[in-house]
Amino acid sequence: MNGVSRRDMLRTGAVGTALLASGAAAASPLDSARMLPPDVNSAAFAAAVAELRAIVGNEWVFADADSTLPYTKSFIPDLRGEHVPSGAVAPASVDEVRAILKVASKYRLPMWPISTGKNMGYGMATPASSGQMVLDLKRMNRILDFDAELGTVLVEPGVTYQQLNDYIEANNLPYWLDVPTVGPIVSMVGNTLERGVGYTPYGDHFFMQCGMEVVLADGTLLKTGMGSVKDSTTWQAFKWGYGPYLDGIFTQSNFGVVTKLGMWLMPKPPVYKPFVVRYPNVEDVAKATDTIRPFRMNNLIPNGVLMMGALYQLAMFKRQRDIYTGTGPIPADVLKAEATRNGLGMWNVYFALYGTDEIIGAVEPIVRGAFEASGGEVLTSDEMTGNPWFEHHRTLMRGGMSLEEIGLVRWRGMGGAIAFAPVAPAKGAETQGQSALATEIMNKYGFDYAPAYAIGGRELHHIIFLMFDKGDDAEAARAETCMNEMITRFGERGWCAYRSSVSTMDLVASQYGEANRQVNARIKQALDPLHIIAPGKQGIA
Amino acid sequence: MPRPADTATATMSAITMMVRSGNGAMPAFRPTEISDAELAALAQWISTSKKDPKEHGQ
Repeated sequence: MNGVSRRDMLRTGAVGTALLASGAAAASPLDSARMLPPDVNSAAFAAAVAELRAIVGNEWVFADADSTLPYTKSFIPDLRGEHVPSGAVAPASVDEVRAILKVASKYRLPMWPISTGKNMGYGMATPASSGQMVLDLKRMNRILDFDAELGTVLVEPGVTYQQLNDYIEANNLPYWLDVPTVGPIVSMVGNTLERGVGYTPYGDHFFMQCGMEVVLADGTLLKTGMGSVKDSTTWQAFKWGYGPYLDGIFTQSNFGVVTKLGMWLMPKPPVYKPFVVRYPNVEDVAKATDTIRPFRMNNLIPNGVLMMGALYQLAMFKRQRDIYTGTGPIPADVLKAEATRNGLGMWNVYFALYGTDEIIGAVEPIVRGAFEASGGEVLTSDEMTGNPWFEHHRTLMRGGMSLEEIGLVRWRGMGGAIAFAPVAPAKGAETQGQSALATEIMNKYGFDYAPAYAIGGRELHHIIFLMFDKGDDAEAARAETCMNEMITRFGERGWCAYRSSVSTMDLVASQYGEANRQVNARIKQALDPLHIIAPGKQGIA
Repeated sequence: MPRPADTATATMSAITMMVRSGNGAMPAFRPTEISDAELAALAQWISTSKKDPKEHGQ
């Protein structure tokens, strides 16, 4: 054991003292944990808070330093206090959300909606700009409908994957969830609205979404798709409705507050067989990608495949200093030796087959042969049971509950991480180019390149975790500069993020061009002319 | 020397602080996720439970 013992810290009570000392520098400060919006003075804020208390009750408005503290925690750099909320308000119903938006409009107090606020690599609950009040929807946590014939659910924002998992188990329902990593504490609504991905055949969450209820800034209640039809029984069965398909404009967006969401669930298959394919060399990323793509396109491999770099894998369960005590990024030979010691390749491809023994028996030789021909070593639970990484992905690929990937955040010092997630076509040359560029930039700043590629159909999400020590301001500043350079230089090659931290939303939005930004701005102006809902979200002011 | 009762109180308040603020790689948890009463009961349980010899976290 090296470093700080969690138990010792608890015993000495040192944690609280250290944390309280780390207040953000503020342009318009209330206190260390809070900031006012630029256009709201403290008298107006106090009046707004009084009206909010009348709506939700005293205990559900958080407007002092202590009670706002849990909303300020994030893993990303925030050296200039640009993502500090003014407080939080937690409604229990749609009517309360509407009443809150009315008060917010009256006082021009911007509201930053969150479901559970566990957006790990992207800023947690913190707003795009300081002074916004967090609209915490966690108390709205009902599973409103579970159709056991269709395998559909209608849930509120506060429902976590764990809650739904428990419901399925308690009622012995023949369905699986599809979870993002750290699913137990994450909202199904929140992750789906951010267009997150998972690892079963239902891995593209927004693709499996069907119908939503949205509160607009003026209090209008919109049910999308078939939900608008009086007495419809089809809301969670048919996505498209009639006329323009609207659900998309409420994802990664600030055009409304989503208060209900429909989702499709995967029927539990009779047989499930997870695999890992180990590749020994960093350069194998191209061959692996080109082997996976055809199987994702013809669906012989039906799930969201993960191609995990050795460093990302090791960081889930280890700290950097467990592996390397020198300065700067871990040298390639040290990394490879550590990977080998732990039964890992430099790339580890996790996929699974689902169905019956006969179906799996027919498909397995085809995919096995292709991976082996590409230089991969194909392994199953026969060889890998007990390997912590295989067990982790075995859990994910059946939508199981795991918090293990939070381990990444504590790679260095007190912990810290910011994610960069550029997308690319699923072609070997593209992955090779992206990995080379990311390695060059991150190593230049002294950081390790920790990659995971999530391969959908024809595209891949390249999830890069920039792990740094947020307890060290100089290192946090380097992480910020490094991230900006990565976003910019990837953009110059035509590679852009599908999602980004609250600290980089303007930069990424600018890469999508002026016409795109203007159209979003015009929709925003039409639906929320006072800019009450989450200004700055995805660069939409 | 602090009395055991004082130590237990300090431990419970440190646990509460850690949960509400999120320490290091730990996310913060809010009263909308775990109420003050639930957190107090959890802190009591953690501070009085025996150490798990298999725990390997740091």
